Amino acid sequence: MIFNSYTYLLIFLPLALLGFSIIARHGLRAGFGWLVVMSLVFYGWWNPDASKPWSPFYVALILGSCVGNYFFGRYISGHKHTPIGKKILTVGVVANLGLLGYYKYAGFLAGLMGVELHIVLPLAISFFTFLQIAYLVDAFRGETEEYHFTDYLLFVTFFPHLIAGPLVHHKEMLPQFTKQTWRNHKWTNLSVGLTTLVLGLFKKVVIADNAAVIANAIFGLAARDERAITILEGWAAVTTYAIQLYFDFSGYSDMAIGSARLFGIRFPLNFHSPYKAVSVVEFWRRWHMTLSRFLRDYLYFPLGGNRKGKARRYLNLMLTMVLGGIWHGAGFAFLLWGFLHGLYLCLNHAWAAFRKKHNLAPLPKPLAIALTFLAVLIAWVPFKAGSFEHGTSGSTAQAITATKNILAAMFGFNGFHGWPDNSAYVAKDAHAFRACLWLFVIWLAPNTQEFLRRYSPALDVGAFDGNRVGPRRWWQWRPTGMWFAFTLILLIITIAQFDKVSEFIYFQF
Amino acid sequence: MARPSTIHRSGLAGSQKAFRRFFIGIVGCFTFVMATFSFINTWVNPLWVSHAPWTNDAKFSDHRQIYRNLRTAKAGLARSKQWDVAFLGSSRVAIALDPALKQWGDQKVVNLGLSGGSLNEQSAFVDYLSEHQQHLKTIFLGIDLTDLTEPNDMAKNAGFYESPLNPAGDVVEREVRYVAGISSFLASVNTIKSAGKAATATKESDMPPYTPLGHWLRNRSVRPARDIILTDSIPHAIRMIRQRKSKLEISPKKRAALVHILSSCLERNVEVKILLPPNHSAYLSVFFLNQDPDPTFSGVRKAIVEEVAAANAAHPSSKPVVVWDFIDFHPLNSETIPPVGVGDGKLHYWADGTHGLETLGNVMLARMNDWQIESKQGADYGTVINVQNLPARLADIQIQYERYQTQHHEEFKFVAESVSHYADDKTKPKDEDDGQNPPP
Repeated sequence: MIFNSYTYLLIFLPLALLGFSIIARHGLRAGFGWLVVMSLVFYGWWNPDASKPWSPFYVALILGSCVGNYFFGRYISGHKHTPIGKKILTVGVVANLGLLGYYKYAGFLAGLMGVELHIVLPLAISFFTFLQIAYLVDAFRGETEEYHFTDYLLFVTFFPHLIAGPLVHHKEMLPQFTKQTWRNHKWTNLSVGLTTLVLGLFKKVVIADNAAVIANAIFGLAARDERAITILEGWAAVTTYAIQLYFDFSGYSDMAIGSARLFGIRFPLNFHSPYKAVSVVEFWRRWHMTLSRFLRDYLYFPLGGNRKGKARRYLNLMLTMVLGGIWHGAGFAFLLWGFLHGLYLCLNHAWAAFRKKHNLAPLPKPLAIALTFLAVLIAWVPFKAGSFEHGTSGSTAQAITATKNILAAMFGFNGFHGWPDNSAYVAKDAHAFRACLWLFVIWLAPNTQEFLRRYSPALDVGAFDGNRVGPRRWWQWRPTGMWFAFTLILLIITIAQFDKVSEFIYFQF
Repeated sequence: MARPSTIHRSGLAGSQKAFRRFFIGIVGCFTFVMATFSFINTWVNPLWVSHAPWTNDAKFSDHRQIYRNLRTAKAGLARSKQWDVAFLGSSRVAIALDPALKQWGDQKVVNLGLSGGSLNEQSAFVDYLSEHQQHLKTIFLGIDLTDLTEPNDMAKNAGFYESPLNPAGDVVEREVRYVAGISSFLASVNTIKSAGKAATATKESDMPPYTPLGHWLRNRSVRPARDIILTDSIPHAIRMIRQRKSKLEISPKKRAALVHILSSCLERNVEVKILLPPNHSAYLSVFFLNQDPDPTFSGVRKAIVEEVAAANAAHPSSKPVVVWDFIDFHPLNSETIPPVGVGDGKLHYWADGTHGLETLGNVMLARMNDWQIESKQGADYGTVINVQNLPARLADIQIQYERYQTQHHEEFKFVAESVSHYADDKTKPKDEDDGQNPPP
């Protein structure tokens, strides 16, 4: 099931909320049990292999993974810092990675050897595997507690984060369950959750899906290699894709955070105006923050982080980003994207060290933002081309062709023609121009977290403003008539455009 | 007591009453909108998919505005009753073939042509008809020649995945969307408006484009034919040629779709008549003028007749499938296009370079059904093609093209100049279409 569906908004979410508020009155665990059941319904609603009838296999897979990891975790927790604990941890991590690797990469590797192997990727397997690996590692480190099984199941399967994150951490979630935060300030939670949900829906339906039409048309043309893309088309393609991805992921994160908040649960912050970043290092502190955190804590640090000298630090950065790239999908395009970001991070750190050594002033903020955005934009080209490499009819050749054609067009290798005429265009120039205007909203408007700052819609929001809420701003949301009208208008505009089936981009990872 | 100027980070600020009012207000408005949509959509049933006991068919069935939701509405129309004859194909079929002709007699006939409809979608439609139609006798299947070499289609942007034709779709989501969704609601509003104007309707634009039998009969183009051919039809042909220059192979997926359609119909003893819907000679000329790698479409025609021969051989007890080829430089396809400024610039047989009108469709149906033909010119319109006569047919098309050049010298010159104009200048934007010309 997807958040931006009538089934979710009109049937599933009201039913889950109503059921929880009734059942939890009679017993908290029963309420959690209800949420687990609803989360499994949410997960099982989708049949990942459309060529075959629905099967309970995938629900059994996630349940099996939860049960296995729960008992592994308990055992490891009882043998923390011991050799046997370490052995069991290794078995647990290898089993998790083996399962993930089989579903995610076996088909790709078989293809390299000329064998056709059709493996359907279970939904959300990356996310539920990663968060359980973190649980096992922390159990060994002695950072977990004796969690109740129902709480643990809910922590892994809770539907607002199940499919595409945020990649929640047990230390953030399980204490909220036991403290019964949902009981406090119910109406605050409901209205803040609802507003966040509406904002996310608006971003996805009204902005991202409309920008996608332009980006898909031009990238599709580039992949088919029918004609040379013009310079304007090249820039329009990558800019509209950057806008689509931004609002798609930001919209998804808002809807996840908003849905959880309706139940009184706060998720960690996952997205915080990444295109306002003044460096690539900062970009990764703002983009898919919970995945970045996971990669840092469970990959970069164990590799040695920056503790083993400069050369090793750059190598670790590169390795982390390349592996992060491949996590998105096995293939050339995501590998190139990961490599580019690894390179950016190395350059960024080298520049920071050089600046420090020579006591140079930082670049002016607008210039730093523009340079960072340009670097990110270039890397989005292979990232988008990754969609041509996967799926039943995908091919690496198509992904390479698309990447090459768009980059060539952007940098003038196809000449300096403007928009093509009626016999050649695949998207209207006015539509592309209009879509690109959303960049100004991205750069100039406050984001959802800033807008709802007074009611801390997510955990760790304060990390970006030193935990100071500061004085009231007129543009900060409050339950007043003005913001009621604003929310209602957004909702009405969204309803007016809500007529397409459209998955979130991050669902495929 | 003075109000605090700052608030704790706990997120617990403000009076609960204000929050409750806010939440209940938004949820209440949303519920009201959804309830209103649901009632109106089931009362009007604008896309034939949200029928309820209180649906007012008597008032609305002649006025349903299905233009923007064709896939959904045509699927709804298909399941709304049992039909004897169905037309499948693209907008060429939707415009040309009239299911209300008196020659059909008592047979129940429906036009299920979809703008931009490809063989992949027709294949899904045949499956859908298999599920919902027990007595279907005949399918007229229109195949656009450029479809078979085009690996992509418009399904994603044209609403196929939201329609009942999508076999992998989420049924619950789809049905909820039809009842409470905005697309149905907008179609309902337009339908109510159209029904309200019915008594006093004087203009074509007061009536819905599609008839209750799915025929696109009204509100087609308002511009002179030569203008549309210049800004839409010729650029379309050039786009097709560009694609065909980069890839001319028959799409395996489309070929498989054709095989599936044929076998599934023949297994159910449904007669299939394939037609290759005509293009105007001016449009066809572009493929010769702009060096299309196969301007007579020999590869595509060959693939079709071969698959038909194989299907007929595999189902000897079923009525054999025939292929009617209307794509050539026949006089009906070469109706003179008046220069801009001469009269209203409209044609008798053609909406534009790729869409024959029902006047032409009537001749096609008469030929395919062996009905009496009123015009002399139509007596030899269209040719049944098969594996044996295909080479002769292709040679004849080449000769017809040369004859067209000499007999329609001014028109041919106009096409040649337009082609070179588009070929020379890739940057200058041209006037955009008025949105009423159907995609081929």
